[in-house]
Amino acid sequence: MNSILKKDVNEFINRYYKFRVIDYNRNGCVLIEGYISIVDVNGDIWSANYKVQIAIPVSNYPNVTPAVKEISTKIERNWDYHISEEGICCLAIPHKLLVAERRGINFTQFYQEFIYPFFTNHQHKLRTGKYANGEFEHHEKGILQFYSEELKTKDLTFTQKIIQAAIGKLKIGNNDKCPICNANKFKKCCKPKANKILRYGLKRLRDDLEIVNIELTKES
Amino acid sequence: MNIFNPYLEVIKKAVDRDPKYTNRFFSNMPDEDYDLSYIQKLRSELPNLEKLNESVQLAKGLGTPSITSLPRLGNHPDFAHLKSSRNTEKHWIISAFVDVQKSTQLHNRFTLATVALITEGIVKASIFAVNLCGGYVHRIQGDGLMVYFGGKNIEKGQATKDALKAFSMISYFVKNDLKEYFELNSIRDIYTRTGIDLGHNNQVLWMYSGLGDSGEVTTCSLHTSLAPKMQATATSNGIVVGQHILNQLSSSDKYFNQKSKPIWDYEDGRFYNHYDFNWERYLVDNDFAAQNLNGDILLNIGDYSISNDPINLVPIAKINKPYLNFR
Repeated sequence: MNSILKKDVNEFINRYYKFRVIDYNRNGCVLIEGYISIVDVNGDIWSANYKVQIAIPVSNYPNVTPAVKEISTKIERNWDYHISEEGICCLAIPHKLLVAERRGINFTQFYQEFIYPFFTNHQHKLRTGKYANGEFEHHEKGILQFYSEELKTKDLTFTQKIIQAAIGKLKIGNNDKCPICNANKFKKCCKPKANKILRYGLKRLRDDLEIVNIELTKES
Repeated sequence: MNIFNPYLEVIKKAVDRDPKYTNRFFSNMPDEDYDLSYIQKLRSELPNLEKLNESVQLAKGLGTPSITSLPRLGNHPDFAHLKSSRNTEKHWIISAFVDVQKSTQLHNRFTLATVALITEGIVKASIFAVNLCGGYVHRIQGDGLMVYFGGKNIEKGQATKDALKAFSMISYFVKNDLKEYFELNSIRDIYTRTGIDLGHNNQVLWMYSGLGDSGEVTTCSLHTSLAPKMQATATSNGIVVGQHILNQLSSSDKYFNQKSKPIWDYEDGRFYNHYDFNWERYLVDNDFAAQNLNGDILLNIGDYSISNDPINLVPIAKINKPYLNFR
């Protein structure tokens, strides 16, 4: 285990008392087990107590994405709850996780940004019938929804061109007239958008372009 | 809901209304010149026995027998028969000392009446926690308490857990609820220190100490004497316990850190050790408290979740927008 991971894991288990390391090398991961209690911003404690296992990949840490398995079965095994039969939690749209992974995670921060909010949101859904900030549709439709929200557009062709520009498939000079939105200079209109999605990495963007292309074919 | 809120609310009101504090930069008026008549009303707002019972019902569940009267100080009910007699009795007991440190600085800020009310609030909150957990307050010394846990109808192991829970709750109250509020008012470094030790049957002698009515049923024991020594070695908001306490718990490693020097030398080659007690971990591990997003601790006495408002989940929940990619 590298020293950063060791430091981060120790910091985490010394801060969150209900967690402990159960295996330092389970299939290449540090395996942490513990309970998550939900406390809202008013300091009120919610009755749920989720038992979870968290696997943090050892190699490449901090450029990794930990996986979370809910083992207390407090979350119904139903896709509407964004959980697999085995209890693997789909914490967020992969793009958000990729940004964190590429930036390098601090495990405590990852817990606060992805894991704890996921379970808090489950409590919200149980009490109100919906997630606090909505949810993405499943599978490819969720990816298209993500781009629609991220680029603030419903125009799939626009999304396609932005992705193409980001991965270099559509070459545009900084000062060229923008072929995507027809504005005067590419660098002032669509380039920032292309740069923004470049954070997800080329592989992800290529996969997403494929999804967009298939959808466009369907539409035509 | 926090069970210490009724105490905190009264202390807050006293601080907010204190005329010396609000005028402290402009006036050197003696306390007598201020109108402090509101203090008596505030004193009556501190929880009474009825409110204590309400909290007990909430914490332990409906149907829990009510406390009809709190026992008199200096007269442990299981040993009250020793009062005014020369008889003695050997019986194990857990002795504990807690007091609030640096509370004297309150005098620089507030009128004497407010300081007295703050102290009374802390003492009453501590007595509440002790009684909630089945302990017995033996003596009150200003802003400190001497407490016994144990007696003739309880197991040592259970009494140990009760004592650790009670003092953890008191430490929590002063470290979190009270300190947070005092710091908002530029009062720093208010904290508790606690020492707890267990003496076994052959190490504790119960007796009546005093003359006539001027006395108390008390213990003579090395371990009762060591408890305040341990208290003196505690860190801010710390709890220090003796080896005997540690021995009563089956899984103790994660809660205790041995102090570098023993607290007692028997002068026969044996030493008696004392330990820092990680009460925050103990509270969370035993479900007496829960941790929020940042790992802050909140007491979890009683289940109030039905009345929780989901609007308070939103700021955390909305960070998450779930997606599903399983096939």
